[in-house]
Amino acid sequence: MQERVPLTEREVNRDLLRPVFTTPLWWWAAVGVLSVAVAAGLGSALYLAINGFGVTGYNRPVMWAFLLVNFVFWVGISHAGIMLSAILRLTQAEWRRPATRAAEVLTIFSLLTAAQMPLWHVGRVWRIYWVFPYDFGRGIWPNVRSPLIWDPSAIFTYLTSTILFVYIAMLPDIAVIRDRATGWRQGFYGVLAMGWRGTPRQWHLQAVSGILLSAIILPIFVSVHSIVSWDFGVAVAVEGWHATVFAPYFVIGAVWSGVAGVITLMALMRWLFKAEKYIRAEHFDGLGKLLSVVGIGWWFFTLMEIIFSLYSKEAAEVSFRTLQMFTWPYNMLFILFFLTGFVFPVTLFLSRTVRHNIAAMFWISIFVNIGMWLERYMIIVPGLMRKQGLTFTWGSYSPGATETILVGSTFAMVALGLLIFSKFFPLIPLSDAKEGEVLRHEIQVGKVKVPAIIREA
Amino acid sequence: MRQTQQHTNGHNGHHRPDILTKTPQQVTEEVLGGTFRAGSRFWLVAGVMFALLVLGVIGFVIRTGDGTAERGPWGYFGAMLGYLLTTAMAAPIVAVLVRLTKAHWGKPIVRAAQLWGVVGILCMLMIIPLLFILPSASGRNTIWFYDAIRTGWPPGAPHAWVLVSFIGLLVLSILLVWVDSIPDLATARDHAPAGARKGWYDRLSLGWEGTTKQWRMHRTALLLVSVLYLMNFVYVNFVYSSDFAQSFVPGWKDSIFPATHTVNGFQSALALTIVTAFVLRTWGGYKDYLFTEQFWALGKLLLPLSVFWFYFWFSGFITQWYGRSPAEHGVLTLLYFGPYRNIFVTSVILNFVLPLFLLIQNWIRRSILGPTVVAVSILVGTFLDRIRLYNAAFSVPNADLSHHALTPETMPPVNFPGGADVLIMLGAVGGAVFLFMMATRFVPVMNIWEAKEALLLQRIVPVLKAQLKAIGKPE
Repeated sequence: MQERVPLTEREVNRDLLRPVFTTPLWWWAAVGVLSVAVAAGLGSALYLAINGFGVTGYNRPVMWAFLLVNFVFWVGISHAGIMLSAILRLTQAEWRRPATRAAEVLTIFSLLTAAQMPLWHVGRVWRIYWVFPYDFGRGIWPNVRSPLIWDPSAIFTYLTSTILFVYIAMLPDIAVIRDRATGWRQGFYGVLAMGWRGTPRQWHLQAVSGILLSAIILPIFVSVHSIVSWDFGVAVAVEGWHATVFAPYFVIGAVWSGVAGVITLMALMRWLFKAEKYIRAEHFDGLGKLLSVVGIGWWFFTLMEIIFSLYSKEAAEVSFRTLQMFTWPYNMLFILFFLTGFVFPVTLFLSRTVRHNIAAMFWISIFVNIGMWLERYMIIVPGLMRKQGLTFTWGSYSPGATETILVGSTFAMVALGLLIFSKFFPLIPLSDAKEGEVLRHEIQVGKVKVPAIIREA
Repeated sequence: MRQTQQHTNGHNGHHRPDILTKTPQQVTEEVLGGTFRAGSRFWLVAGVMFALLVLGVIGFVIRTGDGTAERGPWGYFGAMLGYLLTTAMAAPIVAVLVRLTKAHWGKPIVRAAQLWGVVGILCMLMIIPLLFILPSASGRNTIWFYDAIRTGWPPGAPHAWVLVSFIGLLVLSILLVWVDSIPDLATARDHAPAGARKGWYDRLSLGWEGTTKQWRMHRTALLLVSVLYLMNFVYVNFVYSSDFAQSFVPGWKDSIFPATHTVNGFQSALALTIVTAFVLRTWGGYKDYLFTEQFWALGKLLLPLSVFWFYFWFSGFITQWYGRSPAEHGVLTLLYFGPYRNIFVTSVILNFVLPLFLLIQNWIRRSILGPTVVAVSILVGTFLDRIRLYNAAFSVPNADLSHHALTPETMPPVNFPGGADVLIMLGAVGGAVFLFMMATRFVPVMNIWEAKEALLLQRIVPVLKAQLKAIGKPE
């Protein structure tokens, strides 16, 4: 609280709209480099689609690997955004203000990225429409009992509601840009602003719809990653997958990695957009505290998953865990996952000094996501290696260049999406920043003036 | 309830938000007055609760006549311990979470929530006979191991580790109340008439004078004990739900169940706190301390936790439903579709359906009666749910423990309560309420130091035409 600098409305507009109306050189350079990376990824995807899965490192029985690991990872990242935004709005957490927009937009781009992973994974991309139940001519219906069919519905519902959520929250900001833009941009923002004038009735409607969408989106967000977890959990053939804890375990894991993703993004925004007055150490402190609790909770679910896989002491389960935790190279990956995904971040997030050190928070948040990517890898690949009881099918998996480039390009794709978005819309909400200024207060306690917040309700 | 909503409608109706408007002196006098003196109605209720406790002891003595060779007769006893774990022992978690999140609205309810921790005494006494019916780790599915030299692993498992978890729960629950109330015990020491009571306050307040150093140490100690209590609560739920429910049913392998048990505890903890706040407000003389705000905030939390009740159950259920192995089929039949179907459906209605449809409406959440009605529904639902889970598990005979799955032939029938079981149930509830009531005679049920902190840090400020509450955030 004490780091806060009082800001006028004019200053807020000037600072937060600068990235929209001016384009620094680094922006073009970054867009150029990221575009090349994305093009390489699309090239790989095309190569894969034309030549088939033989060009990858996929090998029986490990037929779900890098692409689906990456799918689960990006769905996970997409969770935090909206969760953070919706929950913090509902609970009126004051430190939410600079984080919400970035979190919501991260959700959109990571969901779009995640959604394309199964597209390439099916091999015959042109038959992806098989998941949609409209092919009456063939008389073949998708199996609605399969979570693999629930996935697209859940993801597209989530994507639609998230876009709506971001758009409605952004209306006042769009109107501010409209009033300052010239030429075609004025028309563009004019259409998007839908006649926003900031009347009390418009603010009331916007607030009510924000609350409603927050409340509606939260169950959707939980359902999406639960359904992704059931892609694995309801399969009885794979030891280590058929665990009842998978749904909440995946959801809390998604929150863990997603909020870490928001920290990464906020640190970058602070540095790149020079938003020191808006994204302050106290915001990283709040996110760090939240993450230390989420991280411990996630580890509890991880422990439950491991303990109960050994609960019945079945030979197949024991040998799967032996492979996953004690056999090269998975033992090395497991240790790396354990250290980067849990030990380092949780220990460090507990320190106030670390939480207030933005560079440290940036690197720790990256560690978390290295760990969480590995977590998904450790679930999928060793799990599938033990799928068949007969030893001659115990193939292994080594990632090939095609899927490695494709997976690598997805990070560039999300970054590129965010950069382009920042050119059109402010990544820190103007209206929220201004509201925060209005609700600032001070209380006299004895001889001391204590910072205070006026509660909205 | 609509009237209450309109009355406290904050800035929308240009009403003044509810805020504690006493002087520090008045807070001290009123709260300590309520602690030192109790009316005849209090003693009448306490007497009835004590009588129920005595009946429970009689029920327990009758039950011991059945011996400990089979678990079946102990089903209701085990269920009641499970119920106390997920209600009374969970209530301090509300206080812990309110503290950790610095939720300003929670100040008037934290002490009452913490005081339920004294029920740890009863839980400690109840776990002892259950240790005699807990089989070794040999020949059954269990979270423990059974090593080559034919002992449980870790050493002493499972019995020693169950006992350790309950001792931890008791010690930490008492410690939590004590550490939190040290400043209030000092205030009571300074105001109590000379005698034994004053002497105890003197000893327990540890020479508290309210220096800056003491406050800093108090804050650190409270944070530490709070976190330890939360961790131990999760551990106790893990051990008890695994060892006294899951491991008694062949083929029941459910990694979400300990988490479900814990989350049910959080839901019931909120429910119990709401009911306690309602009683304190209505009959305890704390109308000026507990406002709609507290019920509204607790109701808001109760809504997602009621949804979680369903979500955690459904996550476990759907995985087993899709697996449909003989073991999973047996478990589903025993717990949901077979002998305990009706009790399961009732608990779904009371713990999920009713809370969801009531609390989703803001005018019900933003009232005093609305969340209280839902809280009662949840407490009854949790009671039925514990009866279902523990009776179903306890009623599997010892001889069937080593089987891989329950079959229609080995499926145990419903264990209807006998006379001793009814006495045990009454005794457990009566005993818990009695212990809580007795604790309020010594430790102020309203947190004096936090009420005074609220006086310092809360103001009503004008914003345009509205009167809003401003909350100081010195940290």
